[in-house]
Amino acid sequence: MREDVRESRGLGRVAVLLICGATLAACNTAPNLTTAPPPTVNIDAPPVQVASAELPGNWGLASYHQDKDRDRTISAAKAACGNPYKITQGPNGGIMMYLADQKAPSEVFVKQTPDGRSFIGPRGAPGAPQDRVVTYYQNNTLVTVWLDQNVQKRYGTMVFVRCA
Amino acid sequence: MAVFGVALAALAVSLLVALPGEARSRKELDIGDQPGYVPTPEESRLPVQYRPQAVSFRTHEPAGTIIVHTDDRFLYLVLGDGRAIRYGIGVGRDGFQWQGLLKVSRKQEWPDWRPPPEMIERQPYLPRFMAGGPGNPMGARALYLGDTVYRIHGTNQPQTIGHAVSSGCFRLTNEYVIDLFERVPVGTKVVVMQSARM
Repeated sequence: MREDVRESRGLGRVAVLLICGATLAACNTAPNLTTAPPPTVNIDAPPVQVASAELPGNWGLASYHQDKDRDRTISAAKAACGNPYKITQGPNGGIMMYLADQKAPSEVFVKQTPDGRSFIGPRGAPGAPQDRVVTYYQNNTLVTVWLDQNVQKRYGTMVFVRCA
Repeated sequence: MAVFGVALAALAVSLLVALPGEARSRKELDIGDQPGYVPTPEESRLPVQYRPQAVSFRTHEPAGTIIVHTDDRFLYLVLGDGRAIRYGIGVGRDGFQWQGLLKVSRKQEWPDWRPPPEMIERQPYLPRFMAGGPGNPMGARALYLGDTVYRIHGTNQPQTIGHAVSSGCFRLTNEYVIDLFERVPVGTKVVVMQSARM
């Protein structure tokens, strides 16, 4: 599966770089006669289509740091449905999930880049520091990685498996 | 041998008696688990008294036995000839201390961690399972004690060494639990006592 291959590269090299035309223009005294390019999200992730409406429900949640632990982490996530992570519908069309280290859920949105990569995070451009990037979504299994390097280092790769 | 093992396990279970914490006069850390936290090398440097060191140690237990003195926050690996290696440890908090006799039933490198339900209730964003690795509260190594929930394990909170903070497990820093792990085999006798006084 292509997603698996891409995901297995790990996201240690993940870097968020939003190149804004406005930023460039600020260093340029010449009139900017061209149209600013759309923001670029420089993150190595596979294209994964995620429909926000599909996410509410109960999920088993587990995490791992090393690819060798992936399969058994998925099994552990399945086994965690006795104490599920609950995703609910948000009031503004998003979904309610926990941001890193936050004890209360926040409304987040599935945000997609033009080339098909999916991010989940607060309203705004994809690739924001509080976002997580979706690296796999198939067979009722959702795999995400926090973009914040510090959070990513602590929690590793998060595996959600939908509870029956 | 198997009969001996079963008898020992039964004896161990019968001896697992929760005792009131006796470290009441000691100022304890009020700190919960910090899953995902990776301590710096500086944070992992222990006060001298909690670093492993060879000490004089009188016991009738044979060489190779682990003896835990909960009140003193020390674990001894008996060397024989009146000597032992002493390690500083973190122990069970008040109400979670126990004493008894068990054996190391399993050894695990980079053990997994499952936060207890009450922790998930407080921190619902946590994964219900965290595969072993840096930042895992179980640390780098674990020695499972009999078929109980108790373990001797590492920690990502070196500042808790010398304190009563756990739910009954004994913790060493990752560096020193690796050292202990490599010195003891499965089957090692573990004696847990409240104080050094018999």
